Amino acid sequence: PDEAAAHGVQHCSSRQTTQDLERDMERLKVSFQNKTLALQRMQLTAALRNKVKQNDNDSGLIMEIMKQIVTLSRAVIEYQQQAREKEQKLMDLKRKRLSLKKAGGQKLLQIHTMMKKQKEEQTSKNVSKALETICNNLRKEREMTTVIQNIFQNIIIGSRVNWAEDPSLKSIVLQLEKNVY
Amino acid sequence: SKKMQRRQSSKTPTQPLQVHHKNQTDLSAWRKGGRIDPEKSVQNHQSPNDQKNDSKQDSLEQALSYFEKVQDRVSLKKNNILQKHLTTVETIALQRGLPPEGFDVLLNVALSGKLADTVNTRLLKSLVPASVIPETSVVSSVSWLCVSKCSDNVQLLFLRWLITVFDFIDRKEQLHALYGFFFSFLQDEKMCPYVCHLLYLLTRKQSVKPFRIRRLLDLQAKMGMQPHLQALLSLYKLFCPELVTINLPGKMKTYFKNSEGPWKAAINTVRQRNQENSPVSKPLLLGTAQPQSRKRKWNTQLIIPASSTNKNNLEEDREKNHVDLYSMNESFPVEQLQTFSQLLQNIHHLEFPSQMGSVLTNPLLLHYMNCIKDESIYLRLYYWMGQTLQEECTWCVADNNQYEEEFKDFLETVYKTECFLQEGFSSCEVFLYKSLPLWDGFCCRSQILRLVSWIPLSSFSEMKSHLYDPLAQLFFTSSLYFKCSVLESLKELLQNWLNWHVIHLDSESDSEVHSLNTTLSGLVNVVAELIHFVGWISTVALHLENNPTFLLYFILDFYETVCDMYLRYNLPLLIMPPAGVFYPALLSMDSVSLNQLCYIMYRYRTNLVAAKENELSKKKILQFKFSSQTYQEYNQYIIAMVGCLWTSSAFQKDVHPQGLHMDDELLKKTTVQEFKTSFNIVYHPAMMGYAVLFLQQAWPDDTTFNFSLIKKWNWYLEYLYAQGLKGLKVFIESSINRVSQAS
Repeated sequence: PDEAAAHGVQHCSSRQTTQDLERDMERLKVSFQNKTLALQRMQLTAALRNKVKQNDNDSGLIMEIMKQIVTLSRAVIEYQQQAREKEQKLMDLKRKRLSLKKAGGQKLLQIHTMMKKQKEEQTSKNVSKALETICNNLRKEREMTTVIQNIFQNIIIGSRVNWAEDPSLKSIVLQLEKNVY
Repeated sequence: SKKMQRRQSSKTPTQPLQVHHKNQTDLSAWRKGGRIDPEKSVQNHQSPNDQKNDSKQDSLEQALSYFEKVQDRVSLKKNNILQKHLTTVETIALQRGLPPEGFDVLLNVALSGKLADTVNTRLLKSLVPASVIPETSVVSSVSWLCVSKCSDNVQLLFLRWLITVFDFIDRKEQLHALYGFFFSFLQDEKMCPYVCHLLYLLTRKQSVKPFRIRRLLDLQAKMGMQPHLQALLSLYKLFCPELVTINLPGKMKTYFKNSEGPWKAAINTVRQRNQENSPVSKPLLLGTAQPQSRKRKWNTQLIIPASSTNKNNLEEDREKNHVDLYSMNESFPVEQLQTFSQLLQNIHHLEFPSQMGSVLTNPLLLHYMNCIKDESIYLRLYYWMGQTLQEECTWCVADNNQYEEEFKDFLETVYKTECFLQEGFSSCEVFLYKSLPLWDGFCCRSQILRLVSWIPLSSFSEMKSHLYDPLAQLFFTSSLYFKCSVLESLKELLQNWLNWHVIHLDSESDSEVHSLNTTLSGLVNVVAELIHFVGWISTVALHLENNPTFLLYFILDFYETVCDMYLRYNLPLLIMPPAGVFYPALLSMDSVSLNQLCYIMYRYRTNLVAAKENELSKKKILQFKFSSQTYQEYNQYIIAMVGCLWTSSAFQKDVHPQGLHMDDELLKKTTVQEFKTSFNIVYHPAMMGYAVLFLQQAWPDDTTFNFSLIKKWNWYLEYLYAQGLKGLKVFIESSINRVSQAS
C-alpha cells in the first residue's frame, strides 16, 4: 500500500483524466480487497484448525459439518459435470440447427432458380411464330382487360353509386381486382 | 327482411310482419332449448343474471331493428326513442361487445348519412366486436364510403375503426378484392394516412401494379415525403423491387400513428369478460386446423375457409397455368396450409398472410420462414412485432398493468419463435433498448432476460448505452438471484453470438447479403466489450454480496465459455478474468469454485498453447495474434496459483498488481504461525475438509489432527482426485512440473 501511495503522488503531477484516476482507484480497491480477503481467510482457517485439534464437543460438530460439505461438494461437482455435458450437447444441437437453417435457405434458393430456369426453358422451347403471335395477342388482350377493369372501378367510384346494394353489381365489383389469366 | 330472418332461430317460421315481439319471445325460447311458448316464456323463472342478459339482448334486438328502419333526419335532441336505443347500443357494446349481426345495421346507418353526425360518431365509437366482424358488413361500408353521403369526420373515424379491428374481420378475400377502391381514397388528403395504413395491411404481391406506384409517386411529389406514403412505397419495393426504382431510406421505426383510439379500452374489457366465460383455446398441433382464437389481436391465428369452392378454383387455375405459358405465378393461399407435406409441395410459391403476427404460432409457416431469405417478410414481421411490443408493454404504457399475464405469454411466444428460428429479431432488440431503462426488474423477468440472450450480433455496437448501462443499474440494486439470472442470460447471449459466428464463418460471401454486415474485428470488439462488462459487474457484485459461492458459480460459468472461445468457436480472442474475480475464486472457502477455477485456467492454457502453435507453424494466416499482454496476464495468474496451491510461496512470488504480494511483517501480525503454507492444497480453506478426512483415513489412530503429516502429496492428490476434483487434476498435470515428491 505504501508503494502504491508513492506511485499515486508521482502520477498526480502528470495530467490525468478523471477516468484514469477512477480506474486507478478501482484497481487499488480490488488489490486491497484481495489482500484483506487472503488475510481474513488465512486467520479463519487457522482458527478452525486449532479448534479441530482441541478435540472437544465443538470440534466434533465442526467435523460433522466439514464432512457434509465434502459430500455436498462432491455432488455439486458431479452435477456440474453433467450440466457441462448437457450444455455441450445443447450447443451441438444449436449449431446443427443453424447449419440446417443455412442449408435450408440454400436449398430454397436452388428451388427458386430451378423453377425460374424451367419456366424460361418452357418459354424458349415454343418459338414457333404462330404461337408467339397468339401469346402476344393474348397478352395485349389481358392488358386491355386490366385497363378496362380499372376504368370500371374508377367509374363506379366516381359515380358514387352504392354498389353493395345491387347483388349483381356487387359481384362484378368484387371481380374487378382479379388478374385475368 | 333478410336480416330479421337471420336473427330468428331456425326453428321458428319466418313471419316478417309480426316483427318485434315474436322475435323477442322466440329467441328467449330458443335460448332455453327450443320450447316455443310465447306466453310462458315471459313468465318463466330465470336467474337474475340471465334475466338481465336476456333483457339486454332483447333491448339490443329492439335497438338494432329500430336503426334498421329509421328514416332520415331524426334529430337526436328531439327524439327520445332514438336516444334510448343509442344508449342501449353504447352500453351493451362497451360491456359485452356487439354480436356479428349488429355490425351490418349499424354501419349502414352510420355511413349512409341518414342521421346527424353526433349519432353517427357515437355509433361508430360503439362498434366493439364481441367475437368477429362479418366481412359483408365491411364490404357494404366501403360501398357507402364510395357514395360518401356521410361527413368527412365520420369517414375518418370509420377508417380508424377499420384499422383497429382489422384482425377481427372473419375473412379478407373480398377486402383484398376491393384494394383498388381503397386505393382511390388516397386522393383525399385527410384520409390519406389512414388509407395508407390500411393498404399496408392489405397489400399482397399481386396488388403492386405500375400505375399504383406512379400514383404514389405523384402524391409524394404533391405532398412531400410523408411517412405513410414512404411506408407503402417501401412495402411495394420489397414485393417488386424492379418496379420501384426510387431510393427509400432504410428501416423506419414507426410509419403510422397509433390509431387505436376509443376502441382499445372497450375491446380489452370485452375480451376480459369473454375470457372469464370461455374455455382456454387449445394448443397448436401440427397438421390440424386452428380454431379462431377469441384472444387479443396478437394471438390471431390463421382462419381457414372451410368452403370447398375455394379448392375447386385453385385446381382450375392450376390447369390453366399449364396451358398458358405467360401466366403469372399463382401463389398458394396460406390459409389452406395444414400439413407439412403440403408445405413441401408448395414451397416455391407460398405467400405469407396479411397478418404477419399469426406466423408466430404456426409451425408450418415458421419452417418456411426458416428457409426464406426474403427481406419483405422480415420487415413486415418486425414492423408488426415492434408495434405490438411497444403498445402492449406493461411498464411503458400506463394502462397496461392489468395485462401482465398476456404480455408475459406474448413474450414467451416471441422467445420460442426466436429459439425455433435460432436467430434474434431486431424488433425485439429495439424493444429491449427502449423498455429496459424503465423496467423494474420484476415484471416478466425471466421472459425479458431470455429475450436479452437472443439479441442479434452486429458490429455496430450501441450496446453500451442501450443495454449495459440500464442493466448495470438494475444489477447493482437487485437481489442475489437477479444478479445470477442476469449473468446466466449474458452467458447465453455470448454463446448465441459465438454459435452464430461459427456457422457464418465459412460463408464469407453470404455476409454481404446478410443484413448484419459483420467484420471479424468488429465482432471481436463487440464480444470483448461484453466480456469486459461482465467482468466489471462481477467484480463489483462479488464485493457487494461478500463473495457468496452461489454468485461465484455463475461468474465462473461465464468464464468457462470465455476461456474456450478460440478452440471451440474459432474466435481469436482471449480475455482473462479480472483480478476481482480471480482472487476471490482462488481464495474461496469451497472446493467447487476452486476446482472450477483450476479447470478454467487449464483451458486457458490449452487455448494459448494452441494459438502459439498455430502462430509458429504458420498454418493459418492469423489476422490476430494474442498480444504479449495476454500472455503476461496469464503468466501472472499462473504464478499466483502455483505459488498458492503448490509451492507455498504466494505472498512472495505473486507479481500481479492486485495480487497477494505482502511483506512478512504484515503477515506475522495475523498471528498465524505457518502463514506461508496457508493456501496450499493441504491448508487451503476449501481443502480443509478433505485434509481432515484424509488424515482420519490414513492415520486412523491419530487424533491430534497433525496436518504436517501430509508430506507426500501423491497419495493426497490421488485421494483428492477420487473425491471428484477433476479440475484440480488437469490443472496440476498441465501446469506443474513435478520433479520430486516434495511438498
